[in-house]
Amino acid sequence: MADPATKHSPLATLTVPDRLTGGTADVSLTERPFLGKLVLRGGDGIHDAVRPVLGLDLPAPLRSAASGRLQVLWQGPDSWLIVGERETVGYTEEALRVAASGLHAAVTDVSSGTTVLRLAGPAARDVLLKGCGIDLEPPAFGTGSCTPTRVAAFAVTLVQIDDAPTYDLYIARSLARTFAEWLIDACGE
Amino acid sequence: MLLIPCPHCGERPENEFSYGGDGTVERPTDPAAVSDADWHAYVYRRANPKGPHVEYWYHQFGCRSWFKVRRDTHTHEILPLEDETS
Repeated sequence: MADPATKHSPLATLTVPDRLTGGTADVSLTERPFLGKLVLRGGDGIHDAVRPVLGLDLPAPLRSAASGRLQVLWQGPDSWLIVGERETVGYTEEALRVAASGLHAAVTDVSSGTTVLRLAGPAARDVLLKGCGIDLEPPAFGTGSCTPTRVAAFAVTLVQIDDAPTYDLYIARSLARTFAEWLIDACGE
Repeated sequence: MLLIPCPHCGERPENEFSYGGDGTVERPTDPAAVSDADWHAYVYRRANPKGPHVEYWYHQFGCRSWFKVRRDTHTHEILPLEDETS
């Protein structure tokens, strides 16, 4: 049995084919495990309150924002996902609570609820389009764009990281394995 | 597939949404004062128009917002919402 004190990625036992990890293929698939994640929800006043803590403005709808240590993803009206290393996210959580006290707001650690799959390379967009119905071509969706959407049967938060293009896909832990296998299959041609 | 205009995310494919039914039904403000027949009508009875229909949609696979759409049930055309308080 697995040691309960050891962290386990939901994809720890997944074998990604060499052709998707070699760096030379048209597309690569890697996991970014164990990131810290916070859901920030808040209405009026939340932007001004958290700006000094995050060191950046909360992104507008369908956008993401990043400082050196944190990435902030728009998830819906009044909802953002804040992503970074666990330790950074840990003290950010406390600071956000203090900054948002007195406001109608909530800060929730959801680090272990999702994992992140990174899909990169010239063919990455075509792979996603096998299961995603939204327009992923710039300018409709480009670097910095971010949206919760549907890929195949899965609810994912999709972020474009750069023009390679590189995408981060946030997927619920319980569905990560199935989703990763779907992606591997979709990368097959 | 329908393209449904989410007020936050723009036009998205239908399979990101759940249908929420008639968007014009209003819950009685004082349930205790409502007759059984009227309560039954509020819970169960719905018009089934062929033509424009104001309905709720939920952006389940997106921003998780509820909103109203006016849709022609015959042609599936999405129509502008009339100026109503929503």
